[in-house]
Amino acid sequence: MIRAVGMVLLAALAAGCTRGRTDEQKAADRRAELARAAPTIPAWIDEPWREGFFPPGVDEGDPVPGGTLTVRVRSEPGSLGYLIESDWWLSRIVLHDVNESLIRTDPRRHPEYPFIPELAERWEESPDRLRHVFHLRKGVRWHDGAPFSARDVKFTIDRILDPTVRAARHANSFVDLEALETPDDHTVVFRWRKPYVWALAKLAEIPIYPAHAFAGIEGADFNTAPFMRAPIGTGPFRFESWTDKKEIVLARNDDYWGEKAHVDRVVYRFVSEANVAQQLLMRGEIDIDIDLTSEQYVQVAQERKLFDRYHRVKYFDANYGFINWNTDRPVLSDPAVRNALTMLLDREKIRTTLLAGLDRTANCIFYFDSPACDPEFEQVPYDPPAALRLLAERGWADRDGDGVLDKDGLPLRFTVSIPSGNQWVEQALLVYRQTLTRVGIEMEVQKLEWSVFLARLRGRELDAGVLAWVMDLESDPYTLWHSSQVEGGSNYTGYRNPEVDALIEELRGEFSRDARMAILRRINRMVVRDNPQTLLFHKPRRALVHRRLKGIYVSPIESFQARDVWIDPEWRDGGGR
Amino acid sequence: MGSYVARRLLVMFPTLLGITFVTFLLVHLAPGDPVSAAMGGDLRADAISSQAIEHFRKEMRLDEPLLVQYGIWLGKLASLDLGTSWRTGRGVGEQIAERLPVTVALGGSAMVLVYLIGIPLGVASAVRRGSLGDRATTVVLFVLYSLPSFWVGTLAILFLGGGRYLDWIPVQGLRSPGWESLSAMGRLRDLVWHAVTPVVMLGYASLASVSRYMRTGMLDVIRQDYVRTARAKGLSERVVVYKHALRNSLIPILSHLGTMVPFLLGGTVIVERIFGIPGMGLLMFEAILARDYSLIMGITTVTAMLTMLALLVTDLLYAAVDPRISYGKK
Amino acid sequence: MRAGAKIAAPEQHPVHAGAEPPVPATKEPKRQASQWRAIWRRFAKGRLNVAALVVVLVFALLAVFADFLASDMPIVLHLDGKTHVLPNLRSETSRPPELRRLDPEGLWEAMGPEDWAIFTPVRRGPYDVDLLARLEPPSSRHWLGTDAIGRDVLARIIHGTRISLSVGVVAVGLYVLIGIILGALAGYYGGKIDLIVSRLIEVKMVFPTFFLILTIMGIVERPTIWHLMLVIGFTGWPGVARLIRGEILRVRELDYVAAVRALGGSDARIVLRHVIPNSIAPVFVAATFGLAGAILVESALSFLGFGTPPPTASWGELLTQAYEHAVTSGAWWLTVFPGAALFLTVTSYNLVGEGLRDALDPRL
Repeated sequence: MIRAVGMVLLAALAAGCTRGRTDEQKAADRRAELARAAPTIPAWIDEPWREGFFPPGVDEGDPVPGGTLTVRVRSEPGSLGYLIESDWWLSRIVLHDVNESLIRTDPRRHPEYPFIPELAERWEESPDRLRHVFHLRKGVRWHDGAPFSARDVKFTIDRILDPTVRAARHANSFVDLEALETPDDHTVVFRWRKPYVWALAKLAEIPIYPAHAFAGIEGADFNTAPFMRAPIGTGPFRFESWTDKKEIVLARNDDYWGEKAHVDRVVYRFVSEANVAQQLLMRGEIDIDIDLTSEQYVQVAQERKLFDRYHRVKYFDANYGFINWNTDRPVLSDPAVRNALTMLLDREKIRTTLLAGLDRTANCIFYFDSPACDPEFEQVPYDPPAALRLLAERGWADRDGDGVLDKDGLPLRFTVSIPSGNQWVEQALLVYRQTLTRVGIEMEVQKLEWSVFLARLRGRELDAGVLAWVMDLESDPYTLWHSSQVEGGSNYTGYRNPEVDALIEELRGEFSRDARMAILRRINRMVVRDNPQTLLFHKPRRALVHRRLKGIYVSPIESFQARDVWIDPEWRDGGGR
Repeated sequence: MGSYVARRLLVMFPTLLGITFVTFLLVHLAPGDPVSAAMGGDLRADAISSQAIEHFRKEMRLDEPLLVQYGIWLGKLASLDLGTSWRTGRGVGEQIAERLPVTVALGGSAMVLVYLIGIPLGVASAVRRGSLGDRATTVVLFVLYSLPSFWVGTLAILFLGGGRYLDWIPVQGLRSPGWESLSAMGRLRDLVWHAVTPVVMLGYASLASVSRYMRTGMLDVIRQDYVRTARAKGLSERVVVYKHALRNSLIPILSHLGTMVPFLLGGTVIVERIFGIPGMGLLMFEAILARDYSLIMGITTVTAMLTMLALLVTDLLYAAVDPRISYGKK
Repeated sequence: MRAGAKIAAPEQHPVHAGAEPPVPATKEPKRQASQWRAIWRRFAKGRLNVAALVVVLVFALLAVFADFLASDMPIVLHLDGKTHVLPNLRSETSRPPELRRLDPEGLWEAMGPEDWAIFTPVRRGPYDVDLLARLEPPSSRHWLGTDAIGRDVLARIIHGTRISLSVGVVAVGLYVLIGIILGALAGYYGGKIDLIVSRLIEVKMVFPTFFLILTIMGIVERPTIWHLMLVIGFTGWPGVARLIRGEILRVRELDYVAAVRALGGSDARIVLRHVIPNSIAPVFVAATFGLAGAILVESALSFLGFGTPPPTASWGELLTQAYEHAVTSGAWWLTVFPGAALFLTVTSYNLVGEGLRDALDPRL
């Protein structure tokens, strides 16, 4: 019996013995591989669908009121209180649609995005930039009928400045506010101690809350007031209902002071699973889904049923993903080492395979489509031989024979942590890990729960982490890159560069936009060269938008505008397009 | 009997204390706290100032010694106040009251279905032990048990949820859009249609254990002396099986029922997540992720209490069914 | 979580009235070798049982010999004049430098007509990333297809066997140990110890187990497979403890135990040499069901994001990946094959357990 098993094993080994190939055989095999045909593209795919933009005609026609717009929301926000909670979908649902600000940026005018009036009809800035006077619109009513006045503006700003209210991220914008005056019911005056470059930009993001809705609510109770789950605003949509785990419904405000919205209702439906969203799309139960995964976006390109019913659109907003290196770790403190690590990451290959070529490689820490980013400037390129030379130059070699590079007894070993959720990040890191292992660098990948990840990131307990920033069109680099922000701020890399500090400070007083952009370009160049972050990609929004929607457009700052959308009553499934 | 019940109810308190204390410790020892969870989602390139964090921690009394915090919580519990969710400000009791009926209804339906199918199946297997039917059933049941629910769920959504293949089942939630406009009958039908898949997914794995229990119990009983006596008395096989053996082998099923309750109140996370059902499992899971201490403690307390009550009830039923068992003085 | 199986305790033979046995007439509880052989014979009578056992053994072999079945390095390699023996057993960093930089494609390219190698049947390891070959359906190159970053699915299933089985074995081993100890203590000493242990059992049973696991995995600094094993191990002991306790309570009253005591045997001896070997059989049955359950728990935890850390190839991780990609990419091979491996294993374990239970019960 044992002999039989032994014989079988020997036979198997012998059968498995393979010889290497001659050069001719290798060439022949390579030819056979290339001969594998590329997939053919179906004839019915038109250019807009293939390239991911809206065909002309989406804006045409006269708006017809009526209908319900259904939007898929990937994650349910904890509340609808924009002041106290920072959540992307929250701002999409509420900001400028339900709660309005004094002014807003015009999402249609790319790339200047000038300010246009909202609750303020006009405004003036004093020549010394220390005073802003806003003249408020008259006759505006809150959704519950009460009149809007300057009192509400003062109330909102006071609440933001109240330390018991969780509005710290907005409060940061008002550190230099000297006083807020309301000389009459329709005038508000902001007086600043120092000129603040982004005063207007920040004000465009601050929704005004009704003072009367918070009567009797003191201090920290503001954070948990019922208003936060049923907001009252002045916008073109009124909050109607919120069914936990299911949907938030807004209804058109027929008493809106401005141009009324067209659709009767907007339903924001919570669907966290991509699989489920896919099925709902196949059935036509969703009008807009902007959270398709890269894979879904590619996969549905060949789906006739979806082509007939939806536009397939791709657009970018201001974000970038990166590997955050903790520069205080001895192994990662040398910028040359970080450069070498960046040179060992094949971003292009990951982009074209894992991300289906949809993302853009990031080379700038600001909004890539703004003048703050020099299109000619790039992060250190993928170049493994150069990386190895660099490491050798800096004294890294495998002295103890364990297969890992070391220097002064310190092995080149670190852990990259990622929050659980994004599969492609984990996959990309595993690819990176393989390359690093082959050259003698040991990288461990650690998956953590979101809150744990954030806690450790803020506590600077991680060697490295992978995350992404979603930014404003023009950002203030202070909180991320100033050396004072390492303790207690968002400078998670521990980056301390006095030259960059000086530029950041200079920026805050520079009122010429062109000059600011030039400073930002210089900051970008310095930071990216020092490599405290390895920049990864800009992620586009990948969307399917129902063909029956008209007046729909997408912009980098607010995605789509619910108020402009109207539903074509002539549209029929499988018919007119 | 009364003293037995009283004793059991009394014992519930120290058990509850133990459970809540252990949960409290675990949850507070976990890294990450509500502050960091509050920053979740898309990180905006702004900072929450340390001052606000300090205030937040004071507001939630996170810096006081754990025992003190636990004591505070106990005190509130004594006045039946389960506290509020720090994130949304909603009462913990309110949220539980919202979700519990859903889970109980779905879980209960699953259990009913499982027993309706499992018991006859077990009986048939026992009576026809060793036959091809018995063996085939065994294999099928074990296969069912071994399929992870998220796997089956994926396949169900893929193949039956519309899309490229069949369109037999809805894939999300418990109601269709426009539910409000349906008649009462229509609403009921819609609810049932949405509930079918989750209920099946919750139950299919337990089919194996229930029917095996039944089978073993029946096999045990069938060989007991009193069954032989009944047969000897000339009673028909049917009477023997269904009247005597069945009744007695139901007893272990009852106790099994009690142990299903904790599973139903928590093990439903996966199904709820896949099908978007607002139930207790998902509530607890999200509470853990968000480090919503009050909510976690509230759910644990309610779940533990319900489980213990269920165990008590099944034990009492046990006594009612089996005349040999009595809980009076020994 | 699956509710554990309850085992019926074997019955004892009645004592015949009127007899005056010089030795206690109750059945000598210690099983003889012949009794085990009888059990085996009863077990082997069922074809299903044997088939299931074979499947279990096959998977065990896969787990043990994974490195010889699927690896990016051959078992023996002769390259550029040097012969390497068993490079497949060495970790990536401990390989000789000339082999370290090579991926399977690179190795195949580098081999000329003078070189030869004995490859493993599957020429890929579980960690070999190949972005250019991602999400490929089953082909001659990759017999069961590739996953989202080009890793060979068959290689991952084979190595995943090792992970899933070790998680099961260690976890179950742990809770059987804890259960035996606690159950023995409670049953033998009774009184206060029994009270405490029974309360512990109650608390544990009422505790929402899944959340216990979730929370513990969340607490730990660096969750590894070992933590997973420990955690699942800590959650399964009540069933075993109750079994052992019941057995001891029963056996404690038997005459022969009194006899052994009279002859001077210590408590520990009685427990260890007489009680536990008897109760082992039903515990063994519980363990096989527990093993199956542990494997399923691991996959459920992976799905929720709390499973084995990357890049470990566990079946749970494979199935979770499948969940992400199956519907959206139509990559059916990611779901079907790992799912099949999982359900074959779990079903077989359950069938073996079931068969064992039937074989143990002499009345059936």
